[in-house]
Amino acid sequence: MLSIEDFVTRIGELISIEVPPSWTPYDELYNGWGLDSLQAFSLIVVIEAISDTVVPPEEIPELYTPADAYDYYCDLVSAAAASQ
Amino acid sequence: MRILVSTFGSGGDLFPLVPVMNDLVGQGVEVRCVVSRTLGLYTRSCGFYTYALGDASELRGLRDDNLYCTRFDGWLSTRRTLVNHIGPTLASDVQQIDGLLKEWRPDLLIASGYAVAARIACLRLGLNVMCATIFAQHFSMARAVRSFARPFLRQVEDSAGPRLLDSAGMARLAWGLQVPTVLMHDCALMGNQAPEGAEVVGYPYWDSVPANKDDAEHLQDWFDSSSEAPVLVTLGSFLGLRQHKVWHEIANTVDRLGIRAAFVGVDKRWAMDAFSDRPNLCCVGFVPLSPFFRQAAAIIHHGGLGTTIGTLGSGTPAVVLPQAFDQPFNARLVEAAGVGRDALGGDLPSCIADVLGDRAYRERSEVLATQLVDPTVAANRVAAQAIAIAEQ
Repeated sequence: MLSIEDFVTRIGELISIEVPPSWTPYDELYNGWGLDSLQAFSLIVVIEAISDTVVPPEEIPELYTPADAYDYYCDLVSAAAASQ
Repeated sequence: MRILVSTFGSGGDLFPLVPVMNDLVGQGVEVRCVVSRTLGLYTRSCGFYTYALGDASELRGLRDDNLYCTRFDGWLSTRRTLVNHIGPTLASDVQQIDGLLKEWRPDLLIASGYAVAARIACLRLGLNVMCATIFAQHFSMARAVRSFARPFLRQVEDSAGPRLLDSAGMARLAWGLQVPTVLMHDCALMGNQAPEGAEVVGYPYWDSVPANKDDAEHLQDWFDSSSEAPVLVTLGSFLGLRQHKVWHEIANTVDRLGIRAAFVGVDKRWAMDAFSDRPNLCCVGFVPLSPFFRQAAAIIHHGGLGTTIGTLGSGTPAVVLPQAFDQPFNARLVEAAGVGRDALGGDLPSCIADVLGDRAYRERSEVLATQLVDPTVAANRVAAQAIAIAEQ
């Protein structure tokens, strides 16, 4: 499982956002980091991809901060490990 | 009975299959989807069990500005989609679907035009496949496939294995035209352009996309704020988010014509900044369009088949500004039917002025609206055929 620092770096690369150098886990992704609509849904898709989730949860998560995004990633990785 | 549905591409590739899946579920069929991760966001929010395909590399396609062009009548964008975005992951996608099919074996696969990986995986396992395509023009291209998108055909042959099908069969596999194939389009619009041998079932229009309620309310309030009906502008579910240059062109045109316009499916944050000084514009994210089509004086759209049929069904005339793929083809159909203008062949301001100024466009649109196949009938036709094949 990635650390939150590595996770944020990876997500930044994959959805093409410039992560502020002094980011914190509770920054606002939309008003703070400036995610646009396309990047917002890309974020969910990319988190599910890097956690190797084949059957993602039916409910689409609402992610407002890097901490929300990392929590979702950790949940998916744990669920994948439990199912093996 | 179990039916697996697979599609790849944008919302326009998925949306007509949603009413088909709903119809199947209503008839007691167990339905699952295997789709790109991005399209999976829609199928999941509609409550369908979804396998997410691949590593989200399809997102590169959404950011690839070279993908969206009308060169060679839109064929270049189709070629780039196949060669640059579907072909490279084909082998791994086939392998992933192969694994899923061993766990959950369907009686039938329904595959859209671009869902070639699922078609290959099912054929290799000897499972029934039915193609449901929205691309009328692909029927003619299947014959020329050896000279078009050749690298893609090689990728299909490599993934399928050389002995699975003969050369013509491989071409049909690549284009999603295996027998049986249903064409989800409408003869009332196509007239004599309907491809030979295609079973045209009508278009299962679906417009219940999960959307921001505030946007829909804001848009309705804006419509209600004036007695003058505005034009409604949409460039599709995904494409619209990236087409900043086109939105600017349309904004400048409606300014010049002195009319009001609602921009739907635009990136709001960008639009609020770009158009903050334009009181004649209302910009919202993606909302279901059906409630607004009838309230508009005209629709300006990109010519995606879903939006084209949705507009026609409302009896509202259109100006079609194609951006890629099958959109130039659909734009010509709209113009030929006399229910709108194809702005690829004329300049945008005069196309809009024509449609707004000539009542005959609306009259012909209202007539055509009564001739289209009802969307629920179209969905039922696809579902009925699928069940019949699965029962064989």
